[in-house]
Amino acid sequence: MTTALLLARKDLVQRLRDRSFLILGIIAPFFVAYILSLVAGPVYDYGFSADYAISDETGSVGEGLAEGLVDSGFGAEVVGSEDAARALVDDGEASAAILIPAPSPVGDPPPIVVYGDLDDGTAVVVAESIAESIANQSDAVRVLITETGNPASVGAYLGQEPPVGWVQGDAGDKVLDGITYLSVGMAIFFLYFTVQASIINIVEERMNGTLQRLLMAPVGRGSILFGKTLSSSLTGLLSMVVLVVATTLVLGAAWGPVWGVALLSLAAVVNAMGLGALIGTYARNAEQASQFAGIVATVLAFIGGVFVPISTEPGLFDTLTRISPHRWLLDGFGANSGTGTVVDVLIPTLVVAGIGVLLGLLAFGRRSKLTGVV
Amino acid sequence: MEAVLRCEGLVKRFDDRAAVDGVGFEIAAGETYGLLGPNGAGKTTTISMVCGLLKRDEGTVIVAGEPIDTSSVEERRAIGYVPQEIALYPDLTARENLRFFARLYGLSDRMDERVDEVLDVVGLTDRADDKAEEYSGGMQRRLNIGIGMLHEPDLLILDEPTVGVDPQSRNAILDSVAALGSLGMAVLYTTHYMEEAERLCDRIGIIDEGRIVAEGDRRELIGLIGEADTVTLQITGADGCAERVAAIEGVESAQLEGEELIIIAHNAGSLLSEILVVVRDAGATVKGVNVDEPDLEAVFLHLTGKALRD
Repeated sequence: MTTALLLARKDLVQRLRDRSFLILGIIAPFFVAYILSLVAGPVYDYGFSADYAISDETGSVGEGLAEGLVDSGFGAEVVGSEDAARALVDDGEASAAILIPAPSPVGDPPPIVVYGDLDDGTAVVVAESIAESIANQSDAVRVLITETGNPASVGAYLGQEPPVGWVQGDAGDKVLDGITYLSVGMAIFFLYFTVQASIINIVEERMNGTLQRLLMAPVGRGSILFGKTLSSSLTGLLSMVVLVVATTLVLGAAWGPVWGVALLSLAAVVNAMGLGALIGTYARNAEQASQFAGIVATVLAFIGGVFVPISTEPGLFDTLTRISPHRWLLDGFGANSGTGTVVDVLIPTLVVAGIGVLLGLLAFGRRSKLTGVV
Repeated sequence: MEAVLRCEGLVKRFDDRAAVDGVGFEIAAGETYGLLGPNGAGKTTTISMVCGLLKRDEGTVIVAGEPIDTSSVEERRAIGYVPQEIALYPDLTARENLRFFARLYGLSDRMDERVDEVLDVVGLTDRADDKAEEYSGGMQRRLNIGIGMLHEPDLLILDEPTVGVDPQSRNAILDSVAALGSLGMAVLYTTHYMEEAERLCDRIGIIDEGRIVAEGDRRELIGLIGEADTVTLQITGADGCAERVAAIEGVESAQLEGEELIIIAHNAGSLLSEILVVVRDAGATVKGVNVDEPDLEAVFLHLTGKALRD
């Protein structure tokens, strides 16, 4: 344990001195998230120019909601019926419709329906958040369904439980708001670089001979491996802690409960370490390892929807995105940030960590390629 | 004297090729043993097996009475290793590098004292708190050696520590290494520089294509090829001088060519004073002396049919 701590401390000092941790782990993700929130606000944030149609059968919510939306810079109009609201969306005059039904005197309360085209996913996501806030404030309305742009399908889902797999199940409860999406996305994206840089450091140590020196010391090889793992974990978790705090305080990101953030962050670190270690076994030198890791992390981030919010409609594309740990992590953080259940957070956590452990075991099987010790 | 390192029958094969094929030698305390051979001869593979960094196919390695293999942990404390690469942490200062390895070797109790001693031995006390990346190549090499000797090992292994070093730094490094034997360490020094082996090593093993083809001290190795030394004296008034010198025991021949007396002798260095007395007694005046000895390059060429730098 002492050896592992000694190694971890040495690695951390090195990472701080060469500024790679500060740049990759903190400055880059924070500023990219910040700049994107400014520059790409129309895509990600509430500040974009979406127009909403609202139908309100309660007669008490719609006007206030419209005023609030207009005050926030959106376009909003209360119309006389659900059909009229849907028609505005179908005609392209509104980005999404928020359909607030009258309270039911008996049985389950009827659902609020967000009606929009998932091709205009951001508008739908924002509308979901708005509807969610209404639902949370109303005893009468608890269920939330997100619809596609197919008007014929609307009636079939009214008053019913959402079908399994439909827009992340009961998606409205588990979708990140724009700023949080950016913050989570950038934090995850750069976390892979930060953690993998630590693991790839083993390749660097192999190349410059210090790994042989470590292996020559009278300490168990397990201690060396544990020390390297510890420094990678610490840099990754430290990066997440700083980013969670900074994006919450400065950008107003809503990460959700700490336990969920901690679990998902740990899973991401495990995954990044496993992936980095496996990549390291295929690289001839540290430079090549960095290039491989960078390409893999970027591709996974694209597939996983870090840069562009992706459609979550079931199908081949949705299945493909699930090969990316980033997708699972975004889902998990979404559930954690929204009103997802513990299971909704635990499943992505276990999947991401499990894949990380598997990759780590594969790397362990090829450890002679990483350490150069035959 | 009890051997600090004893290795026997070391074999390492990569696929079907034997990189090391039956290498064995011993090193006593205070002795510097040179493993001399060209690049690719099997020097680094041999010391990797001695260190326990590389699994051997056959053979045994005993260091300070303990067998060494890839699973050894505590036994490695007896070995100091200076790799061919400059194996330092460039972002750390020399002192921090040394302190890190001192802790790794469990020297916490007397760490600061020992670090200062090593900094002094390798001549880096004045720059101890500068980052290693700010050092010249030669200074980095010296720190590289300092880390290897930090924990006062019984056996110090240096793998070509002067590769790529300028002549001035090289001299400083060789001086540092020369001092190690006097500290009582057994030193295993690999090199493909003949002059380094001659200068530093008490005994030399000449290795080629994975085998030690000859072993002994410098004189013994040169004796293997039967070549004698050539002493050239620049003299005046040397009538009859050549015959008298030729009569000295150990001198094979002496021949006067103009004002040069050319003497062929084995171990000429030890005979030189006697030769000079005889020449003076013969009434000659010596104006200059030159001794040419066959070197290890010639030995290597003789034994392997190729030059050391091939």
